[in-house]
Amino acid sequence: MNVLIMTIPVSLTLGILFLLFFLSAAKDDQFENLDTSAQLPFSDDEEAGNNEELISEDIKKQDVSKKKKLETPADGSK
Amino acid sequence: MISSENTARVEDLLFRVEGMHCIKCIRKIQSVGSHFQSLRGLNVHLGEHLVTLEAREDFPVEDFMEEIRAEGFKIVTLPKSSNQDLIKLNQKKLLMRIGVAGFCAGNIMLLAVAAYLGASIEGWPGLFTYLSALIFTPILFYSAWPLFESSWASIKSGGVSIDSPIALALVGGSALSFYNLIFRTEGPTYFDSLSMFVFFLMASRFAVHRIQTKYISGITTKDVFDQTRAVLVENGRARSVKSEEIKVDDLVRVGPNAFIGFDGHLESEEAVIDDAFYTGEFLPKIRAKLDKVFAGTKNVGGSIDIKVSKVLKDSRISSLVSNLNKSLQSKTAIQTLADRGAFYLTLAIILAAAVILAYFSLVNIEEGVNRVLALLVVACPCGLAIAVPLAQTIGVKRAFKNKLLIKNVDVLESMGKIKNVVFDKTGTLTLGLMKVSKVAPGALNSLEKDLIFNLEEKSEHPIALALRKFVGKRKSLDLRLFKELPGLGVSAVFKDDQYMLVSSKKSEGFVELRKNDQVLKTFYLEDQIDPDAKNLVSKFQTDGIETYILSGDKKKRALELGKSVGIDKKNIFFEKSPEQKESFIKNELVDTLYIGDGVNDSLAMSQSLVSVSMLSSADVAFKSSKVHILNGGLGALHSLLKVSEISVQTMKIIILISLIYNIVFAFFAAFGFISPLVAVIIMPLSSVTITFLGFYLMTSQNKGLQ
Amino acid sequence: MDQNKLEVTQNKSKFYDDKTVKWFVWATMAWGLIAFLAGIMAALQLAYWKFNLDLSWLTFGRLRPLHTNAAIFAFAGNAIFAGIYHSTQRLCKVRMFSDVLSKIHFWGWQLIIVGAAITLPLGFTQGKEYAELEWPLDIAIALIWVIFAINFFMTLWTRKEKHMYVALWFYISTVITVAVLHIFNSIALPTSFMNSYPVYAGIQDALVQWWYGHNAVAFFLTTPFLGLMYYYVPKAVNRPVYSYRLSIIHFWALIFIYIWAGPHHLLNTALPEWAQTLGMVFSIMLWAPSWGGMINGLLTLRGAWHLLRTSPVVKFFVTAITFYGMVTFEGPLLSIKAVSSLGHYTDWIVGHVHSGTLGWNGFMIFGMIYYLVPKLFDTKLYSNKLATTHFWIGFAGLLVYYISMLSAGITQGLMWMAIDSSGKLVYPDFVETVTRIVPLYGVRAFGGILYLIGFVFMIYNIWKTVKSSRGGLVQTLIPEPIQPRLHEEKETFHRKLEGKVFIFSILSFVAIAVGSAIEIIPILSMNSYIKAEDTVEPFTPLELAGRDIYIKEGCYTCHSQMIRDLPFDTIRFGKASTIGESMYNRPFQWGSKRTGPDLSRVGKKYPHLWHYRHMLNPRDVISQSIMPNYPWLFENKTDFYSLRRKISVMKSLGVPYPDELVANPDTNAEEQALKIANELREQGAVMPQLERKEIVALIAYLQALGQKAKKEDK
Repeated sequence: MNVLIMTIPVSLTLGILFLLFFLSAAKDDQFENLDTSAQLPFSDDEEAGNNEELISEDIKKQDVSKKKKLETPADGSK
Repeated sequence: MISSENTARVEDLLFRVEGMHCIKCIRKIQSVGSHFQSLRGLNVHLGEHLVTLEAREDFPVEDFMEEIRAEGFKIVTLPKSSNQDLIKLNQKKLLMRIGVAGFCAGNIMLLAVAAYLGASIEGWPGLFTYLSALIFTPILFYSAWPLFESSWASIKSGGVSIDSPIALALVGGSALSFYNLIFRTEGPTYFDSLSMFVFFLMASRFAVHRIQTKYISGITTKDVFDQTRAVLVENGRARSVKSEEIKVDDLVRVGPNAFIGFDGHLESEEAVIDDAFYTGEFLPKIRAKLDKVFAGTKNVGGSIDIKVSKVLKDSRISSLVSNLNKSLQSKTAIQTLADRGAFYLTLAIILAAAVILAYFSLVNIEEGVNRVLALLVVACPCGLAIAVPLAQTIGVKRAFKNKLLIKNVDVLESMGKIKNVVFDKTGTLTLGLMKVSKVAPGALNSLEKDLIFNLEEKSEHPIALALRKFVGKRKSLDLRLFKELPGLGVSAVFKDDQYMLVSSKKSEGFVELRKNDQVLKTFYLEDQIDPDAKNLVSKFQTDGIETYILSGDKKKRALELGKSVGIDKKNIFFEKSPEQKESFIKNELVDTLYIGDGVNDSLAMSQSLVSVSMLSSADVAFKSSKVHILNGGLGALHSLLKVSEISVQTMKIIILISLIYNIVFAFFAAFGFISPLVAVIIMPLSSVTITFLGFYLMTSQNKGLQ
Repeated sequence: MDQNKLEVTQNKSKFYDDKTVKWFVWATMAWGLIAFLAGIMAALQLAYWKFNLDLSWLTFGRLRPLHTNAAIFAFAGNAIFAGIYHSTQRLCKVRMFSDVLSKIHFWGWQLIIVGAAITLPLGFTQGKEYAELEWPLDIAIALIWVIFAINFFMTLWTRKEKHMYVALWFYISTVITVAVLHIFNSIALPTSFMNSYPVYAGIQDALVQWWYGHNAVAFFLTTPFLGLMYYYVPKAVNRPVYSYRLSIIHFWALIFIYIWAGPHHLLNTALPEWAQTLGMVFSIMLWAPSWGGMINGLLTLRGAWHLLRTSPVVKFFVTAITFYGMVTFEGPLLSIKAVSSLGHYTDWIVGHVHSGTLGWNGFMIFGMIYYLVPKLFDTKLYSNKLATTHFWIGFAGLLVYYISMLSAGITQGLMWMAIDSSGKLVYPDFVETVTRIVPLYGVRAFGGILYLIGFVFMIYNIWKTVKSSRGGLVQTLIPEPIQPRLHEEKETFHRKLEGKVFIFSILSFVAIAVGSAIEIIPILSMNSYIKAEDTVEPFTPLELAGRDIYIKEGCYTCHSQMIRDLPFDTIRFGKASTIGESMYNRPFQWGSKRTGPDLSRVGKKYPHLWHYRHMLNPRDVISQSIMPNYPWLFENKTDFYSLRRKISVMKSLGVPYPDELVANPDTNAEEQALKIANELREQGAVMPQLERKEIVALIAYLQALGQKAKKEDK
C-alpha cells in the first residue's frame, strides 16, 4: 500500500489546486451576480430566439410590478 | 463602447432598473450604453435589478436614463455608499473562508474515516492523523477566524457573544488534539469533528447573511427628483445654470411639469403645485403669491418664478432624507427571543465550564479538560444558531410566495408584538384609482357623455380615466381649439360653444363640466377603497389592536374614508406633514405597524416597529420599509400575519427543544458520561434534528397560505 | 463569396472557429461507427466465438480494448472536444486561442486513435483497462492533451466575458484531472518500442489503476458531460438552468472530494479492509452530488416539458440525464460489499457500464449532434421523424442491452454463490454457469445492433442535413459580452507575457511531476508491507514471456486472478489470494471479469497437454466452452531475445532476479521451453519445433500460477 504515498499527495495537490482556483474565483467576483450569469448560454445574438420564455422564475417574481402610478418619481426636468 | 481614452477621471455609477428579465433586456440596455462615448463599462445584475456603469466625468446621466426609460424600463440612481462595498467585501471573504473550510473538512473526513477503519502505511505510523492535523490548520487560523474575532470583541466590551463557547471549544479541542497527536499517539483527536463543525456553522451563517443584507442602500434626494440645471432670472433676463449654483435670494423660473429644487416663496401671482411628496395626494393645490413652496414638489401649472429661501441641501426635503437615513441605519434591531436565549445559555455554559475546570484542577486536570470540552461542544446552542435563521429564511421565502417581500427577518417576530396599526390614506387604504361617485344635478345626457369622452380622450390623468370609465365608449365628435389647462383640466369648442372640464376651485375633488363658463354638471370623484381594507381593520380591532389613519389629505375625505373602513373618528388624523406623521409615531404610539406608499410616509416608517410599503410605492417608501407587498393590496397583510405566526411558533419550539437538549446533555457532559468524541457526534446530530424539525414545522403548516 | 471569405480570413478573430468543431463532430460520428461495430463484433463472439472470423486481430481479447478505447477516447473523446470547443468560445465571447493548436489537437488526436486501431488488434497493449495503449501512444496522448490544455486555458485567459459559466468549470476540472491521472497511471519503463512494464506492481498497481480507472469515468465520462449538459440543455429548451447556484455548489462539492473514490472496484479482494470500507463509504456519499446534478438538469425543463413530445433533441437529453441518475444510484449500490460480492466479475457490471455509456454518454452526444449540426450550417434538421425513430430504436437497444446483462449478471452471480446444505457448490462446473447465460449474450448483441441501427439513421440524417444547407458552415460573428471584463487597457505585451508565464509554469509542473514520479515510484515499491511468509518467487524468464503473451491475447479480459475471501470463491477456486502472490506482477492481473474461470491457482492443476489441447480448441476439453480457438499460438515463435531487456527492466523495478539470470534470460527460457516441449511430446503432442512456439511459453506461465510460493529449503 506504499503507493498511497504517491496517490495521497497527488490527490491533495490536485485538491489544493482547485481550492486555489476557488479562492481566486471568489476574489474575482465570480460568485457575484449569478442571475445574469445563468443567462450566458443565451447571449449569442443569432441564437437569441424567443427570449420572452427565458424568464427565470425567481427574477419574474421579484420584479416590482409596473402598476400605474399617480406620479412618476425621480423624474428630472430636461 | 469601451473607450480607449484614459484622459478624464472615471467614476462608478449605480442605478436600480426595474423590468429586466432576460438577455434581450440586457442587450437593449447595452445598446443604449453604446450610444455614449464617455461610457467605459456597463454591467447588468439581473437578480438585484442593478446596472453599474464606469463612466467619465462628463457622462450625461440624464440622457442615459431617458433612453433607458424609452426602452420601457424604470430607472433611478442609487448612491454608491461605502457601506454597500464593505458588505459585499465581507460576504466575499466569508465565502472564501467557507470554501477553505469545505475543502479541509471534506478531506479530513476522508483521512479520519480511513484512520478509524485501521488505515496505515508501513513505516509511516500515524500518517493519516498527521495529515488531518496539517489540513486542520487552515480551518483553525483562517476559516474560524471571525468566530475568534467576535468572541474577543465581546470580551473586551465586557460581555459574551454566541460565538464565545464555539471559540472556546475550538481552541480547547484543537489544543487537546494537537497535544494528543504530538505527545500521546494513542490519545483521541478531534480534527474531523471540529472541522465539520466549523464548515457547517459558517455555511449556515453565510446563507442567512445573504438574505439579510440584500436590501441595504442609502436614500438621497435624487430618489425623489433629480435636477442638474435650473433657470436663473437676473435683471429680467433668464439663463440656464447648474443647480448647484443657485443661492439664497435668487429668483428662479420653474417651468411646467418641473420639480422645484429648493425651498422658497412664490413670486408669481398664482401657481398650481403638486405636493404629493408631502401629502400623498395627487390633486394639485393652488398657491398664491408669497406662499411657501418646498423642494420636491412639482409645478403642474405654467411657468412660475420663485425666490429661493433655502438651497437644496438645507431644504426641508434634505433634512427629511438625512433623518430617514439615520434612523434606518441605526441598530435598533429588536432583542429577539433567540438572542436572549442564546445569551443566557452561553453565560451559563461558560460559568459551568469554569467551575468544572476549577474543581478538577485539584483532582485530575485531564479529566476536567475532557469534561469541559464535552460540555462546551454539546451545550453550544448551535441548533439555535442554525435552526432559527433557517426558520426565518423559510418564513421569508413563504412570505415571498404569498407576494410579500420581507427585507428584515425580525419582522416575523415583531408582528406578534404589534399594538397599533397606522394606515396612510391614499394609495394604501385606497387604490389610488379615482371613481365618479356622484353627478349633480341629475344624470348626464347623451351629448354630455359624448363631450366628456372626447374631451378626456387623450389624457392619462386619473381624473380623466375615471370620467371616461364613467361614460363608457362614445362616438367621436368634431372638437376644435382643444386646449390643455395644466393642473386644471381641458377645454375645447364644439359647434360654437366652449366646453371645459376643470377641477373646481371652490371644493377639492369636484370636477365641473362648463358650457360657456356656466356650470352644467358637477362630478364628485372618490378614490376607490381597497376591498380588503374593511376586513383587515376589523381583524386588527378584534385582536385588540388600535387602528389609525394618518393622512396628508383634508379632513372631510379622511373622515369619510375612516367611516367606510370602520376606524374610529378619534383615531383619524388629517393634513399631516411627513414630519408630523413621524413625530406622532415616535411620541404617541409604541409597537406600531405602519402601512404606506409615499415619500411622505417614509419618516414614519423609519420610526415604526414594522413598516409595510404598498405595491405601487414610491422608491423612497420602498427603501424605508421592512416589508413590501409585491402583488395586490392590503389583503397580503393577512398572509404576513399568518407567516409570522407560524414562524414565531416554530422558533419557540426550536428554542425550547434546543434548550432541553443543551441542558440535558450539558449535565451528562459535566458529570463525565459523555466523552468529547461522543459530544462531537451528538452535537451535529442534534443540530441536524432540530434543523429538520424547524424545516418541517415551517413548511408543513398551511393556514390558507400558498 | 470569395470576397467574403477573404474578409473572414483577415478578420478571423471576430468570428468563432467552428471549423474545428465541425471536424470534431465528423470524427465523433466516424469513430462512433467503428466503436459500435467493434462492440457488436465482440458481443457476437461471446454468443458464438466463430464471429472472430478466425483472425487473431479480431478475437475478443484483442478486440475488447479496441472497443473500449474507441468508445471512450475516439467516440466520447471527440464529442467532448466538439462540445468544448463550441461552447467555450461562445461562453467566453472569443475565438479559440490558436488555430494552429486547434489543428494540432484535432489531427494529433485522430492519429493517436489510428495508432490505437493498429496497435491494439496486433496485441501491443499495456494490459491495463482504459489505459491499454503502449508507451509511445501514452506520450502522444500526454503531448496532445497538453496542447489542448494550453489552447483551452489560453482561451479562458483571453476571454471577454467576466464570469466563467459553470460548464467551463467542469471542463477545467476535466482537463487538469485527466492529465494528472493519465500521467501517473501510465508511468512505465519501456522494454522495446511497443512494450513496457508499469512501475507499479500487484496491489499498488491495482490501486493506481482503479484510482485512474474510476476517475477516468468521473473526469472523462461525467464532468465534461455535465458541463455539456449545463450548456446544451438550456439551449435546447430555451430556459436557464433550474438553479444556477446549485450547479456551482455541486460542482465544488464534487471536485473537492471526488478524487478519493476508486477502491470500490476492488471490494472483497486482497485490498486491505479499511481501504475497501473507505471506498464503499465514499462511493455511497458521492451519490448525493451526482443526483444534485441530475435534478438540476431535469428541472431545467420546468415549463417546457411539452418539448419532450416534439423535440428529438430534448428526448435524448432527458433520457440521458435520467440514465445518469440511474447509473449514479446503481454505482453506490454496487459499492456495498454484500452487493459487490454478488455482482463483481459478472455481466451486471457490464450492464452498469453500458447503461452509463450508451444511456448517459451516447444519448447526450446524439442530442448534442442533432442540436449542433443544424446550427453550424444554419439549416433545419433533415428529418425530425428520422431522429425520433433513432431515439426509439436506440432506446430499445439500450434497454435490451441493460436488461439482458443485468439478468445474466445476477443469474450467474447467484449460480456462483449457490452452496447446498452439505457445503458443496451447486454448480461445481464453471462452464455450467456460462452456458446458462449464453442466450442472453445473443440478446445483448441484438440490443447493440439496434443501437447501431439508430446511430446509422443519425449519420444519414446529418449527412442529408449538411447537404441541404445552402451556404455550408456558417461564419458566426462574435457578439459583445454581457458581463464585460473591465480594465482591458492593460498593455497587450504585459498580458502576453503573463500568458507565457502561465504556459511555462504548466509545462514545468508537468515535467517536474513526471520526472519526480519516475524517481520516486520505484523506491515506493518496496514491498515492506508484505508479510514474510507471503512473499513469492518471481516468474522465470519463460514464464514472463508466457505472461506477456497472456496479456497480448487479452486473456485478462475474460479471466480473473483474484480469489476473494468469500466461501463460494474459495471452494471453487482455492485459497483466497494474498497480496504477496501478485507482488511482482506488473501490470497486475487481478482482472475484472469472469467470462471464464479464475486462474490464480490453475498452476499444476492440469497436465501440460490439457492446456495444449485447450488452447488449440477449447471444446476439445470442455465441450460447452465459448472460448475461441487460438491456433496462431502454435505458429508464432516466442521472442526469446527480447527477454534480455525485459528481465533487466524488471530487475531495475525491484524484482529480485539474480545477476546470472539477468545476463542470460533467453538461454534460461529456452532450456525451460525445451523441457516443457519434451513433456508435451511424451504426453502425445505432435508439433515440429514445439519448444520455439508461443504455446509453450504460455503453458509455462499458466502452470506457474499459484505455484510461486517461496520454498524454504532452497
